[in-house]
Amino acid sequence: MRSIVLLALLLLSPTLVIAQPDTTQVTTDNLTVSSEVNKTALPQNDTLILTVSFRVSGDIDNYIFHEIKPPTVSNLKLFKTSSANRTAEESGELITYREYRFYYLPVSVGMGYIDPAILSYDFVPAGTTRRLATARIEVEIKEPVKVKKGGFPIWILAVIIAVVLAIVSAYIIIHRRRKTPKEEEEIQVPLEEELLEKLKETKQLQKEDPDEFIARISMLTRRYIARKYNIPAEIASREELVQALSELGAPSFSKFEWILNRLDEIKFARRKLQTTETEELYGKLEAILEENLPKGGDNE
Amino acid sequence: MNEEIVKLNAEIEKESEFIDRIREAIHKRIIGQEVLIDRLLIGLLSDGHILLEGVPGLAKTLAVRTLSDVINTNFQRIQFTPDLLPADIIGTLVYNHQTGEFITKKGPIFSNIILADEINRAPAKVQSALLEAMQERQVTIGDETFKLDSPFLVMATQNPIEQQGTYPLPEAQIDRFMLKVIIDYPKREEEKQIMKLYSEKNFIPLEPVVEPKEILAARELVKKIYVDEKIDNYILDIVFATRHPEKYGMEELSDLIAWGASPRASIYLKKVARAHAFIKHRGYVTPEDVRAMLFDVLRHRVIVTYEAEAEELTSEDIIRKIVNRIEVP
Repeated sequence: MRSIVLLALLLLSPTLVIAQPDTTQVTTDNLTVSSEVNKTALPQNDTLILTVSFRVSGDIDNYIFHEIKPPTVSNLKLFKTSSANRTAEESGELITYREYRFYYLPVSVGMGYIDPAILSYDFVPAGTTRRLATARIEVEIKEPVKVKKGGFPIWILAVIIAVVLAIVSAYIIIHRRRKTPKEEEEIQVPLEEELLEKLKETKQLQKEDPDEFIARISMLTRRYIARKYNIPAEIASREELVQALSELGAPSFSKFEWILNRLDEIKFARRKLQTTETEELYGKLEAILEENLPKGGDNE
Repeated sequence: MNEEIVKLNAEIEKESEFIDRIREAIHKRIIGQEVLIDRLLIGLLSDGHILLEGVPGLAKTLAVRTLSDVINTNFQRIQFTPDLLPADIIGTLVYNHQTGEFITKKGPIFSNIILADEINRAPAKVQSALLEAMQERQVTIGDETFKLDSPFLVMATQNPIEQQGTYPLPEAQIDRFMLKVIIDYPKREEEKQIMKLYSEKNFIPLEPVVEPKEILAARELVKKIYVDEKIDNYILDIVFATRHPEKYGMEELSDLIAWGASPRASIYLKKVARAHAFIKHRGYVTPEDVRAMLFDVLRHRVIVTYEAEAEELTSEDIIRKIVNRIEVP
């Protein structure tokens, strides 16, 4: 779960550093000039777009526009420009739009500044030359971030993940439901009975292969403790097991303790195995399993 | 049990009795801190040094001084500071005006038990001087080489807080410490007893209960403690899993471990498992002994990656994951 959240954060990280756009505008003589950046904070490897646009309502012939020069910038490098014109009718009035776009690449981490964009024009009815200037804009340039090549849209990725998760969840739910009857059948066989069967298989090994017999007894004892008491017995030491069983007040505790002690001595202190001892180990484990067999579970 | 092991077991049961005497004597001055006391004894028995990390006021100094008192050895405390010089530790040659000769003035390292307090506050050259002496068990002053006393135990402390202006020990230097022990605050009940004890007395005098020669004899006995091949393999499985977790079905740990434990870890783990069996009065090592000492031997030898740090996982978390996957023999 934690890694999914981390993954999502990583995927979203390029967007996290991008702040809201910034706009500045000034209006006079039915003329509005505005300059806008698409983001006020961006990673060093991203592109900043400055849009300088003006909107004229009324007769466009009243104005003679001088070309807008790219504004002076610091810590940014201009690499592309474009412009577009369009007209529209709004509330019965003719509106003319002109848009200049300047594309910048950040130079270094820190702050970048765009000085006011200046529009010079001749206002024909008055016969004067006028200037309109927007406000200065500042942008924050952050550490570059890793951008996924190809610009694969994040929302598509999110949709794909959601669909995959939905399919997997549906499959798991259906699969579980289908398996339930089988599992119920398995649960009906008591653990003690299952392990008693496996214990019987070791009888032959007592004389033929005492080492293997000890390994099996150890494995069955630990498996029983693990499944019966939910203790990670396969990775626990004797002392840890004895302590855990004692704390749980496990029935047959003294037998468990005896078996575990004896197994430790055999395995780690080269205790010589007598035939009576193997019988005793077998007998104690068998006794534990039989003592704990659920009532009615031993009807064969 | 094998006859030899039966004999050894009986011998160790008898010869390790002094451990209980030491514990009893130490507890007259120190309440709780069982882990610290056990680790000090294990360091002493397995001839290894200890790096101790814990906030100030946890009886680190008192524990070492008390141990020194009860085993009747010399004790020196060296407070590491940024202006300390190697000669302040190992000693130097001093010119005698009357005889016109240089005489050797031995430093505080010529002691049985050394407490190197806040080792990370002194520059690297001073740390190296101490660590070399720890490794070589001898120091050279001028042209003369002097053997250090035995038993020789260095317990260095590091404070986990106030890291500004410190000189953190490099991994290669830390590796020379057999154990890195982290101690925590006492339990509430223990602290109540500490308050009671030290509100009545400022200092509790102690008589030695063991002579150093008994410790040296016990060291020889510890070396004889039986370690079955299954235990060797268990140790190797754990140490190798820190290096190649993917080979033990723990692929998820591969990116979290920068460097696994060194062969010193396997050597030390076996040594301290023996010493742990000794303090438990046993003549053979069981997985319990290995598991009890695992974290102290490995925590400073498993170096985690930046990815692990980003996930706020420590070397202990990694070791715990490994131990919880490696089956006990």
